[in-house]
Amino acid sequence: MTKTKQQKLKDFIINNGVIIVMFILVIYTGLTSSNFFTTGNLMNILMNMSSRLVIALGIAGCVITGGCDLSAGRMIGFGACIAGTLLQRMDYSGKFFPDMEPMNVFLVALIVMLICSVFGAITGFFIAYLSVPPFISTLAMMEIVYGINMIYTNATPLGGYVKEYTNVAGGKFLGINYLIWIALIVAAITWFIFNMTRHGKYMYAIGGNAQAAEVAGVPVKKNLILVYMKAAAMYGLAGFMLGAKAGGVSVQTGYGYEMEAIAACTIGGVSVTGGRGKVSSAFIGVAVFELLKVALQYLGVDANAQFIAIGVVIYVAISLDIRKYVAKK
Amino acid sequence: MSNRYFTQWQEIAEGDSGKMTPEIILNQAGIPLLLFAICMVYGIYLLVVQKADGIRGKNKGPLKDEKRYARAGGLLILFFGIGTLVMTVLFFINVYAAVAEIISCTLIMGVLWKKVSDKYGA
Repeated sequence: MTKTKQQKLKDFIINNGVIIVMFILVIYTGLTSSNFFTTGNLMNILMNMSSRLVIALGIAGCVITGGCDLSAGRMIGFGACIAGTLLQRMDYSGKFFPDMEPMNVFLVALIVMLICSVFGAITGFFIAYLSVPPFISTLAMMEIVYGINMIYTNATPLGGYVKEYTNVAGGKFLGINYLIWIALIVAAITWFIFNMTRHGKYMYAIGGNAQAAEVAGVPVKKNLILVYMKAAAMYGLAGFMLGAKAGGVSVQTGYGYEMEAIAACTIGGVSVTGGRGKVSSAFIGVAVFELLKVALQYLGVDANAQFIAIGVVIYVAISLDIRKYVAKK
Repeated sequence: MSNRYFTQWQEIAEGDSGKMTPEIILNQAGIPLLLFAICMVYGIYLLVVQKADGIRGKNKGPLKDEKRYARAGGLLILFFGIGTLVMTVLFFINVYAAVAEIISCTLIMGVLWKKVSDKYGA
C-alpha cells in the first residue's frame, strides 16, 4: 500500500519530531540572544561535542548489535585518571608518581585505549560466551571499573598536567582545536568500520537478527567481543580528551555520560532495538543534545529544570524509536 | 594499606560534623544504592511475570522453558543486586574487599547465567 504525501509528511514529522523541535528551539535562542550565533560559541559547542561524539560512536556500535553499554561513564573516568597519573608535571606538589617522568602524550593515549579495551573484551566475553544480558554485564563492569579506579587513584583528584597534554585541548590546527580533529578522525574511522568492513556488516546482521546471523555463518560471539572492545577503547580516548580539556580529573569524571550518549544515539536515529544506525545518526544526536543544553543555558532555564527537559527529550526520543519498531513489525 | 582506605572512607562518610548522616551516605553511595534498587525491581519483576523478553531481547529464538529461565534470571539479578549492596557497604570499610566482592559476584553470576542458558535457553 503506497502512502499519500500527507501520510509521508506526518510520518516524517513524528519520526523526526525531536530534531525539529530542537531546531526551532535553537533558532529561537539564536534570535533572542545576541551572542548565541557567534564563532566563539560554535567552537565551544564543537569542543564539548568532540568527546561526547567519541563516546556516542562507541555506544552506537553496542546499540546497533542490540545491546547497550552502561559502563561507558566509569570507563571514561578510568581512562581520564590513567592519563592523568601518567602526564603530571615533575614540579607538581601532588604528583601521583613522584619519581616518574611524564610519558609521551600519544603513547599515553594508546595505553589508555589498550587498558580500557581489555575491560571491554571482558564485558564482551560475558555477553557473548556466558549469555549474560548486556544490561547486567555492563552494569557489573561499571562497578568493577569504578572500584579499580578507586584503588588505583586512592580517590585522589588529579591535576598539574604537562603542557603537551593540556595542549591537546588548547592547541589548534587550521584554526580548529585538536579535540575536534580527534573526534573527526574517530568518526571517519568508525564510518569506515561500519560501512566498509565485514565486521561492520556483521554488526548490523547481529542487531537485526542474531539467530539468523549465526545460522548464516556470522561469527556472532567474536564480533560481539570486538564491538565492546572497540567501544571501550573509544571511552578511554574520550576520557583522555576530557582530562586534557578539564585540566584535572577525579574518579567521578564521566559519570552519567553513558546515558547522554545512549540518548544522543537514539535521538539521531540509532535504534535501541538494534540493526539500525549510522555514524551520522550519532553525530546528529550529539549535536542536537549539546545544542539543547546550550540553548537552555542561554534561555536562563534553571539548572535543575534543564535535567527535566533533557529527561523529557530522552523519553520522547525513545518512545518514538519504539513506535518506529512497532510500526515496522 | 587497608587502614589507610578505612580512614579515608570513614572521613568521607563522616564529613565535617563527624557523624555519618543519611545525606552524606547518599552522596557517596547513592548510585550503587540506585543500582541495587533497579536490580531488585527488575529481579522481582522477572520472578513475578516470568517472561524472558526483557532479558533476552528480540529475535533470540524460542526457549526450552521460558518460565524457569525467567525465574532463574530473576534470582540471578537479585543475587547481583545484593552483591551491589554489599559492595556499597564494603566501600566504607575496605575498597579492596569491595572490588574483590563485586568481581566474585560478577564471575559467579556469569557462570550461573551460562548454566541457566544451557539448561532452559534456546
